[in-house]
Amino acid sequence: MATSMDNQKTISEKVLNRIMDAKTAPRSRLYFMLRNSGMWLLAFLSIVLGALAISSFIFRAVNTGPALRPGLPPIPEILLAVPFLWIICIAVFGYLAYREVRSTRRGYRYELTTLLLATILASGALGIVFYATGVGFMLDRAAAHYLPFHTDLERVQRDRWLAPREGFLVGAVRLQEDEDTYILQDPEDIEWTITFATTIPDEKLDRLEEGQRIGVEGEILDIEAHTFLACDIRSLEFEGRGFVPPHTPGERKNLPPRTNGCEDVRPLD
Amino acid sequence: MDNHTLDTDEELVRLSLRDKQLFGVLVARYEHKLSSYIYRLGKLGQEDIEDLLQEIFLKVYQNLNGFDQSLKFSSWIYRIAHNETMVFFRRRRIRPHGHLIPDSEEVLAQMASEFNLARDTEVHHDAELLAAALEKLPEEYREILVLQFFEHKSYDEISDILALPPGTVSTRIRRAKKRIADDLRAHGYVYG
Repeated sequence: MATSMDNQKTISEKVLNRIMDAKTAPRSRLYFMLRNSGMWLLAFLSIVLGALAISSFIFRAVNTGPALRPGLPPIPEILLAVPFLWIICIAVFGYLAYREVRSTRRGYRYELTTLLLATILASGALGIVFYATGVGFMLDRAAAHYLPFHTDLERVQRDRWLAPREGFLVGAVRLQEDEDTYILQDPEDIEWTITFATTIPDEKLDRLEEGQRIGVEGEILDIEAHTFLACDIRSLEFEGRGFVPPHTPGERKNLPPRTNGCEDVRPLD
Repeated sequence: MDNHTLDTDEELVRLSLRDKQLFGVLVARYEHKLSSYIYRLGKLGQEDIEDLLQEIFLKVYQNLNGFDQSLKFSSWIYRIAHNETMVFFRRRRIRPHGHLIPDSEEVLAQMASEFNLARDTEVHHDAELLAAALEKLPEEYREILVLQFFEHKSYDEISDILALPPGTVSTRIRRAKKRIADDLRAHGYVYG
């Protein structure tokens, strides 16, 4: 309770008394230096996290198209392929980066639009680097593996392309020793012997590699023997795997033998 | 204690870090200004203002090492005062609502002149109208006009006090003036 003597004191005296009584001392310079650096660090981290989200976003934007085979309406599968998780992450981390920069010593002087634009540009540029180096690929694969609500693009490919009776197949190429027989192992582990038609451009066959995931358009030759005529093929390997591409073009010297019989089929690409 | 009344604020900050007593000079220098400023920001009794002032100065003292030398000290202390006052209002659930104090009429007369209202015989009446128009402004506009007209702060200083980009300050001032002009026009006063 304030006494009458307290009331007669000036504010200055009261403040000094409180400082003395509580042995209050100014916080150290280091505290403020660390706090300001911490803000910048958090802003930087938010930009990096935003960039990771953007790299994954680019990855999906690039790879969703090929995953959807022709002849089917793109919706709703294309909506499933939209990386909602990453869009939310980009928004959240973008906002955090903006907030942290604003909390720095002179950050408030920047206009909202300037800060948001700078944050988006920084995250975007770094996101492109992450995508090009394969970080987006790894992130998306990991998310597809561990996050149940994250649509797996491989699952979309499988759902879309595994319909042999409708003339579509998906699977991994298994080369035989003679290099003339091509086996396609579909996601249900059925091995299809593929016969390639002359309608397939040489470059596409030239790029075929052991283990490569491809989509095939054609028709069943013999359902019991699991033989399939391929009129066209599309690589379903993901783009954006980084510095080491899984399949280098031009490695195969001899193209597989081919047969005629797909003149009426519309090419995939 | 030597006479430090001629030292600049920035010098006093430096000296206060070495000698606590000198902080008292800074307190004395800003006590009245901040007290008026707080009163203009919201309806508080003298006792509350004193309590608030003590909290503000304690906070200033604790953060002396964080004072950014590229800022004016007055901007920095006003910022702390503004933030602490707003926290105090929120805690007490007080809606910021400014009040005129004895020195306001002169300022209002200056404002009236700014709004092309002042006529020699009607200065007092114009000031009352302006004060009423100010009272009606939303907080974000009123606090900015308080700083510009009553505390005589420049755009840059207001930007530092309210931690707003300079562009936002100038936009808010323009909008605040327009609102006042609209209000005056609604009362039949021609705004130049």
